[in-house]
Order: sequence, then structure tokens, then C-alpha cells
Amino acid sequence: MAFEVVVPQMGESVLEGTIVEWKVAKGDKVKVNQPLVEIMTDKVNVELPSPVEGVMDDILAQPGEVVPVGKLICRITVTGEKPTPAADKPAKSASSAPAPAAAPPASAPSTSGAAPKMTPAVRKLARDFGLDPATIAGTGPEGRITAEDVQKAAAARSAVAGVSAPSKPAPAPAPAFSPAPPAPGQRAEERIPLAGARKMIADHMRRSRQISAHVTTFEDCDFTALVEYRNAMKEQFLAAYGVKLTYMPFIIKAATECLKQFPTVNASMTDTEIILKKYYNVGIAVARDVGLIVPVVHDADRKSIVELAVALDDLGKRARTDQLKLDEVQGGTFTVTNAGMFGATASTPIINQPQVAILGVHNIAEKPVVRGGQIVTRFMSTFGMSFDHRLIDGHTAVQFLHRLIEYLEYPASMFLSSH
Amino acid sequence: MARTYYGWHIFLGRREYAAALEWQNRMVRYRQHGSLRDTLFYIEHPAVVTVGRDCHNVDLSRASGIETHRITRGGGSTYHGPGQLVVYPIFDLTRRGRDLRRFVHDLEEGIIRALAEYGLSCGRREKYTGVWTGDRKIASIGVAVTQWVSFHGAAINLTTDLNGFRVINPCGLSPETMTSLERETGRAVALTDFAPHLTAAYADIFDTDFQEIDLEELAEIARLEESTESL
Repeated sequence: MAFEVVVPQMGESVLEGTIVEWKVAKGDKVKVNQPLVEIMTDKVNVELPSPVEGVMDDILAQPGEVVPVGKLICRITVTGEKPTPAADKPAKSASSAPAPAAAPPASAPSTSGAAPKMTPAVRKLARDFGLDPATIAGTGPEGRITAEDVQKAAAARSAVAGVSAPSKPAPAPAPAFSPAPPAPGQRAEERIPLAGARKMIADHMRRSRQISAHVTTFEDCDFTALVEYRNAMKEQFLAAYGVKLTYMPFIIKAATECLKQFPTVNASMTDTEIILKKYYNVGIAVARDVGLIVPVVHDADRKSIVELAVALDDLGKRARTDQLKLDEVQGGTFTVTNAGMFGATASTPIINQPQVAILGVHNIAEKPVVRGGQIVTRFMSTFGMSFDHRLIDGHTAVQFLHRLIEYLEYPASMFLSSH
Repeated sequence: MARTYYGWHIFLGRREYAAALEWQNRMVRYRQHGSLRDTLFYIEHPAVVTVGRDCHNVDLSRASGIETHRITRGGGSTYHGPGQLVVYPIFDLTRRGRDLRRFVHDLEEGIIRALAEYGLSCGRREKYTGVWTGDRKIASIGVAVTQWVSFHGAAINLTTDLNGFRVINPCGLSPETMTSLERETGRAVALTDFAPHLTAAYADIFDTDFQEIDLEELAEIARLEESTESL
């Protein structure tokens, strides 16, 4: 199937742009992030990057044409797939062909199991209005839900309820699903459409497994020094800064020091390039009822323990109440996930694309260990770090993890680091 | 209170436009790769006319004798020359919600606040992007974005010879529309004196701690980039 490129959201008050010039012609090969088209908005000229690799199938808007946000402007056949039949009959002009002939009529509120189609920006808009996408009729190509559809649906609801658009998202109605009554003798099942956050997480996880060559390495970390330090400081810390002192700021601090020393761990890669990031944005996996989200602490290396604690508290609270901003969940260069808060002893986390490593920290508990020939009890946690073996070799990952643990076991050593 | 982002700023002095453009393109690439932070590049150009994407059949006959470049920024034609502070914000707009109009608005806001430091009251005019004092325009804006990284930017007339604008219709306006800080206040403010006020205003507006870097540090980034690109 062809990938459909629409005019993206470019800001709240930007509703349309003018096509200036296509950078690729029909039939050209395109790579991910290759500029496709130049679009001019008021005083700002934007080159839209290609979201996929493939072949330009069809161009549906001509230079000089004014195109609204959300409008379909071209189709790209993703590499390895056959062109769609629709590509054989080029649209006369995009403005006269808002929907390809092959598109089904604008669907009534979806009752089928398929998730309604829309761009992430439109999905967010629907969420902001507290609307369930399954209840919105899509008027775009192939029943796609447009920003306008969402606004209309919101207006219709407001008219009924006699209120204006809510600034706070209203609780979304329960997803519409219609379980078929079980046939006699059959066990009851419940079928829920895969949509929204769950669908995004599902796609993201599966994609990561396909892209990266996952290997997980384990090591035990002795938290005793940090446990003692935290116990001594936690009340004072809470009183002074209004947030709880957890171990996470220390783990992030130690991780950023190590990322500086092992540049390939703070990186991403394409088929032809290795991209070493010179900034250190650490994502923290946060559990929510609707599913996992990973807010990002930007420039974590430049923040103090206190600043990290405050930032984590803030991001965590807003993550659980769906109040994160777009840039607060993007741009991560490394991720830490804490399965320990649920009691897990060890796990093999999945890399958060396009990153190349993720650190899983686990339950901190007193355990017997041998120190100087004696069995003693210490506060121990098992770290599991998954890394992408395409880029990171085993010895690098092990050295990284050992250095990280050294910093946490002897926090003073971090201050002596030359980086 | 710490700011959300860390960025850089650098004053490059007077540079030929063509060389600066090539250089700017490289910095955009470095920002896309992440080795450059959000950076404010301050620069002054020798007399030059640039023509943006919003000029289809611009009459450049009057501009004969002046170097002219057709470029990919938004907006029409404009004049750059000595005494004009040009700022190129090379920012990753993905981190800032990809909101183009807000970005332009923020660029204007910084200039308005910096000019206020010199006692000049400025504002915006609907549909005419830029910074205005009364019905005269003191700063022009034209931005380009590629892979959601911004380049080109804003030009603020401090002691600019306003006759330079006579060779064109700046952004489709009459050349007489243009003014400068010197013409408005009688004060000849140096670029290096004005830039810090602008940086301070942008620090607040963009919630970014802009720290000064030097050419040597940029060269180091370039060296790292070239070595990575050849991997």
C-alpha cells in the first residue's frame, strides 16, 4: 500500500500553505527525510521531509496551489511494496479530487474493528477535545479523519451540551465495541479495537524488534551507599524542594556521565550513517492506565540532582494526567525504565527507537553478598541494559554498564570524572 | 530557575553573503544531526540583495551593481548591509511544537523587547510580518525550515544606510517604509552592543539558556561531523 503524505500541522494558526516546488518527480526514488516539496506559509518556507523510503507514486498538488493542513499531496510506494492501482490514474488536479475514486464514501461513525485513519496531529486534536476517534465521521480520503472533522464533531457536541470547547480534556467515552454473543458451547471473549495509545505502543515495540539487533546484558548494582544517603536526606530534601528524592536522578546523572564516555551508546543509525548525539536527552518510561509513555528530560547532563528530581516529578505528574507537550516526549537519546517499582527482579527492555540502548533498573532489595570473604547483606538491584548490536559491541556495553554501576556504588567517583 | 533548554550564540562579524549561506547550510545539517544545539548566529553582511520565495517576478533592474541572491527563505526581497544586525536562529522546531507562526511571532517579540531597551516602542502590524515603529518598519523576517530545522531569520536596522533599500521594494513595500534605530532615536548603536539584549530577550522567550561559543568550538563540531560523515 502507498504511504499518503498530507500537509502537516505547522502550528495552531497555520491553516494552509502554498506549494512552491516539488523536489522529486513521479517515479523518483525517495529516502527517509529527503526533502519532498517546498511549501510556503506566511514568511516561512518549509521543506517537507519524506517520512518513508520508497518511490514517488503520485503527486496530487501543483506548484502555486494553496493546500490546507491535512490535505493529501502525494503518495509514496514504500520500498518492497507494489504501487497501488490508484497510481495508474493520475488525479486531474488535487483541488478537484479531494478523495481518490477508490476511496470509500465518508464512513459513518466507525463500528467496524478497524482503527479510524488520521494523522498523529489529528489524533492529538481529538484527544484534546476528549473525543473518541471511533465516533467521528472521516471525510478525508479513504475515510481518513481530518482536523476539520474533529472540530465539527467537537462543535456538534458543544452545541448539544451547550458548552464551548473544553480546555481540559473531558474523559473519553468508553471505546465502542460490539462483542458478538458467544455461540452455545463457546467460551466468552471480548474484542476491543486496537486503537489509540495501545496501537501506537504496539507498532512502536514491534518495529523496534524488527530494526534493532537486541542484546541484553545484566549486572548487579550495590545501592547501599545511595540508600543510606537517601535515608539521611529524604525528609530534608522534601522540605527544601517540595519533591521526593528518588534514586532516578542519581541514575540519570551517572548515565549521562557514561554516555559522554561511550559516544556510540548515545547515538542513532540509518542504513548508511551513524549519528553520534552531542546532547543528552534521557527518556524515562512512565506507566499510565492507558499505556506506557516516555517523557524526556532534555539536556539531562546539564541539570543538577535537584533539577533532575524536580523535572522528573513534574514530567511524571503531567504524564499521568495527559498534559505533556509534544517536545517533552520527543528527542530522547537514551532511555531508563524502572520495572523495579512493580517488584520486577530482572527484565530485557525493548529499545526506544531510534535510540540504540535502554537501561532497565529493577527492585532494590537487601540480599546476601560476599564482601572480603564474608557474607553480608547489602541493598542490591539488577540492571538489564538492552543494546543494539548493530552499533554497540558487547565489550562496550559491558564497560558502559560497569562504569555506570561504579558511579552509583561510589557516588563520589562521579565528581572526579574528567568529563 | 534553570531554563528548559540550553543553546549557544556567537557573533561572527562581517561576512560575505555567499560564504555565509554555504556555512549556514552546513550548520543546519549539524543541527539536524544533533551535534549543534539551538544556536543564534549573529552576522553583518556587506551590501547585498536577497530574494525570497514570495517574489515571482521581482524587478531587480535597479539593483544592478549589487550582489543578488535568490534563496529559499519565505518572504520577498530585502537588502542587507553594514549597520544591520542579522540573526540566523538555527533551531530544531520539533522540540518547539513545529509551530511556524509562533516561531515568527517569537522572533518578532525578541526584537521588540531588545529595541525597548533603547527606549524605542515597537510592535507588529497585521499581515505585515516584521517589527514596526509607527508605520515604519525597522526589522524584517524571513525564515526557511528543512527537516524542521529553521534557518535564515531576521534583520534589524541599527545604523543601516537606508538608501540601500531604494534598489528594491523591500518585501513589496515602498523603500521609504524602512527605518533604523539610528534614524528613530539618533543613537548609533553598535551591533555588538545590541546583540546581547536580543540574546537575553530570546533566552526568556525560547526558555533557553544561550551560552556563547567561539569559532574554535564550532570548528571542533565540524571536525567531528566530517569524521562521522565519512564513517
